Amino acid sequence: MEQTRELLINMGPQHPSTHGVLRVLVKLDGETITWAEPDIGYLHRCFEKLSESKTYTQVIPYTDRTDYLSAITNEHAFCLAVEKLMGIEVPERAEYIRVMMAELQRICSHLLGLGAMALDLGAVTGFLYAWRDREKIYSLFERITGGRMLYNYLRIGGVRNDLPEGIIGTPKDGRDKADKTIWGFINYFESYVLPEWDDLLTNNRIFQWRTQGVAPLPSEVAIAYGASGPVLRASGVKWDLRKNVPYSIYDRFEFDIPVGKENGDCFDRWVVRVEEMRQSARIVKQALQWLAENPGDYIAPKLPRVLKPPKGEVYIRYEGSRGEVGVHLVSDGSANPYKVKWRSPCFTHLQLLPVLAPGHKLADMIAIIGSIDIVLGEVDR
Amino acid sequence: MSLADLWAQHWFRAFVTGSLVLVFALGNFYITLWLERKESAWIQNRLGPMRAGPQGLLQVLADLFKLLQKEDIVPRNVDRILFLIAPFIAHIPALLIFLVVPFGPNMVVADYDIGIIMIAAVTSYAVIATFIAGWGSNNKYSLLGAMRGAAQMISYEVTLVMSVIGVVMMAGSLKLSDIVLAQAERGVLGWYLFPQFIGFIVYLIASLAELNRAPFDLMEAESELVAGYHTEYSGFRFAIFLLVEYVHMIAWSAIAATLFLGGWVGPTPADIPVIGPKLFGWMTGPVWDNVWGFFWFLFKTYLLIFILIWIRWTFPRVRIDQLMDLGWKFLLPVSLFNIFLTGVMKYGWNVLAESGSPLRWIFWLWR
Amino acid sequence: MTAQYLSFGALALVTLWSAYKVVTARLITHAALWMALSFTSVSGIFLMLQQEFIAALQVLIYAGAITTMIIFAIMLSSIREIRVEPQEKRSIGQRIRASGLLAVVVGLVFAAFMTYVYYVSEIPKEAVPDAGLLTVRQVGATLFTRFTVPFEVASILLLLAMIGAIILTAKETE
Repeated sequence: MEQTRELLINMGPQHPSTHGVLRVLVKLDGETITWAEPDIGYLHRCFEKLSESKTYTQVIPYTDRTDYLSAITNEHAFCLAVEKLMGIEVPERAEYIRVMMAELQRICSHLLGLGAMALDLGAVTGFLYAWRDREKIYSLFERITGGRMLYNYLRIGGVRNDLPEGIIGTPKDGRDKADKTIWGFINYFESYVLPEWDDLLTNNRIFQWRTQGVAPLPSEVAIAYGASGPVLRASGVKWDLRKNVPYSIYDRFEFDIPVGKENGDCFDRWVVRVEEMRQSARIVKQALQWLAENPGDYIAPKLPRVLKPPKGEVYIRYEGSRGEVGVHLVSDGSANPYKVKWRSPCFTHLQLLPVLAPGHKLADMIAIIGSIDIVLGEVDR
Repeated sequence: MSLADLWAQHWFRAFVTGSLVLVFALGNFYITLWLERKESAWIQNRLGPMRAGPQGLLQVLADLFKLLQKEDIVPRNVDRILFLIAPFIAHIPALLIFLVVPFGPNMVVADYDIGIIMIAAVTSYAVIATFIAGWGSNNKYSLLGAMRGAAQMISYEVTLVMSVIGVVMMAGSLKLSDIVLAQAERGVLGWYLFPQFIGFIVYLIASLAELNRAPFDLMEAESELVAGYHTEYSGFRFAIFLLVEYVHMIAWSAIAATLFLGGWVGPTPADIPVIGPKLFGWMTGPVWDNVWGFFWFLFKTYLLIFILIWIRWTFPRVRIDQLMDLGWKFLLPVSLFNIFLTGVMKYGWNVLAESGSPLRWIFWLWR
Repeated sequence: MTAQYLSFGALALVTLWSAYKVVTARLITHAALWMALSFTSVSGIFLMLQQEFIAALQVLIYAGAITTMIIFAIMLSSIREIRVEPQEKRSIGQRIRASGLLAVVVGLVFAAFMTYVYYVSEIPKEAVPDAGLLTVRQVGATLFTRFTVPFEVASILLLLAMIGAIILTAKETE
């Protein structure tokens, strides 16, 4: 009998839903995926090698450009590594500013991740709503750091400048001040944006059809493949480096770790991200309270112009927006790092694609890519 | 030869009315495209086109001119003839539908007795056009899009026709002008929207699928299939596909307005109690009837178009198997049930109408 | 009258030519599309006879459903190539088949047979003046009164065929 033949298609490198320049080879039987393989490297920019010829301070702008949607967290991870290597004490106010910025960045990054996933599933409006709210975070960041997307704001030992006057605002600031004060944004975000996401997408029947039961990831598989961050938590593993291996001052904050069910599917990954935004907003609020109560201008210690850390190596685990960012720094005592190894969560998550995709429809493929939320800049580095 | 003599000639009438339909379709295409861009912008906290003309009214014109200027690219390995004729074949069903639509009292090009069947028949060319475009492009995305399109359109055509059967049973005719007249007799509450509410909802969903509009725009799902069956098209051939899409949307909305919302039936200023006849009494007569009929017809059509656009920019896209499940396992049984219900209710009214029993008011809506 | 003859001639020519192309087209896709054209022009002839209902059904069922089904079969099977490579060497049997001789012979025999049947049988050879229009109402009434049993039998037959097709093509699931 005549059998149907498999169809090999090439999603990307130029394809609307591959979040950058990713090429996925897919074999289809009708509409069902039988085999999928990501092909990466289109955005390779030699970040790790390039860092070896820069001084430690000069590397910071490059870390911005790995996961360009979550720049502050990358800077934070790198600075933590250098500080640990040199044993630098970071001023308390700088720590609070760093944490607040990192959590705002996490909200911003999740907004884009969720928005892009919604866009891939055909909900264009959700994407534009995400864009609208990111814009507000960006205008706040612009006032604080001078940059909108790539900040170069954190310094080894502290931050570049204190918060500008009036940006914190008061807890009473509402929606009209959403892009003027951080309090205004957080209030607007909690009272307006999050319910809107729930109404528009999370509780939308079609959206649930498209994501529930799609690409379930058992927790053992997730751990075996080195998944981390929201992807791991969506599979029911309560693992958050901010709680489990506290760094910076995260042990001072009160927040929960949202987890999905045992077999986390695309919907769980979605819900976990939405919940994480809520928790991040909680952390930001606590940081804002402290910052408002403890004014000061000591935000960075005095350090020599050229940093020469002692010989040695250090590894930092950092809970980035997309998962565990690892920085392995080797110093030979000179002004340039001997080796910078960047563990990128997206790279690790992308290898889940051949595991998750087979057996699902082509349309699920993009839901999967959206739900593991990859940034190709970080995958290729 | 006088104009009246000319009008008596078949070929002349066909030419004039055909041209009018073409003009109607193109004019409304323009407005609908503009409306889609503006409405999506309102939904998404944007302004939409603002620069070209007041409220961006000339934007569509600018875009169309841009598309017309573009090079007509025919990729090398395509099936040349099929690739070239596909957009024009896609045009056929979209425009033919308007032949049977009554735009006003006595304003219908070809008042076939089999109006609804004729609509169902010509729609099947849309599948063929999609297939020709997808196959002729010799592109895997196009082929996948065409495959999806064919499956989707066949499945939903069944549902679509079934959802309309209830209306046909109520009116006792397949002729669209008869259906409008039957509704005109029943008054506003008698529009088939109310007794055929299930049918209307099923029709709305099924026509969204038939039109390939979100949430059922699977055959051109841009995040999956790039642009589906018209991935390889550019320039004015692409513009024609765009045109077809919107003309189809207008056509299906027009049919829905005719079948469920009473078509051109609507109040005129002369119907206003007390002052109406005095002030607007001059607005009567066959010409004014047509004007008001056309106005109400357009009003209802645009109401439905507005809803279709609203739906598109609110929902995510469904998956192909979910689409099939929805069509075959839910909408089709529901529309069959609607036929059953209509039959029972009509029978009930027929039996009880004369009896004077209070029970008959249950069946009143289906009278 | 001439206009009618002209349009009938045009429709008949299109029908015959596309039917010929169905047989001789090298690609099965093209054959399917030619067939759709053939069916369409036949429905045009029905329209000329003012049998709108039959014309619509012709389009709905043949040009629509049947063609789409064939197209579907093509797309799902492995015959996906757009170009057909010309064969270099052909056997005599292949040459005869390629020349279309067989088709012509079979066509002539069939035409002769049909003409014979036409003359022998009792089909009215002149137009019946008061045959009237075949309306949907008549068709429906006849189907549901006189031909109820055949109608139902045909439905059950089709249902069985559908189930059979599903069973034949469904993959074994373990």
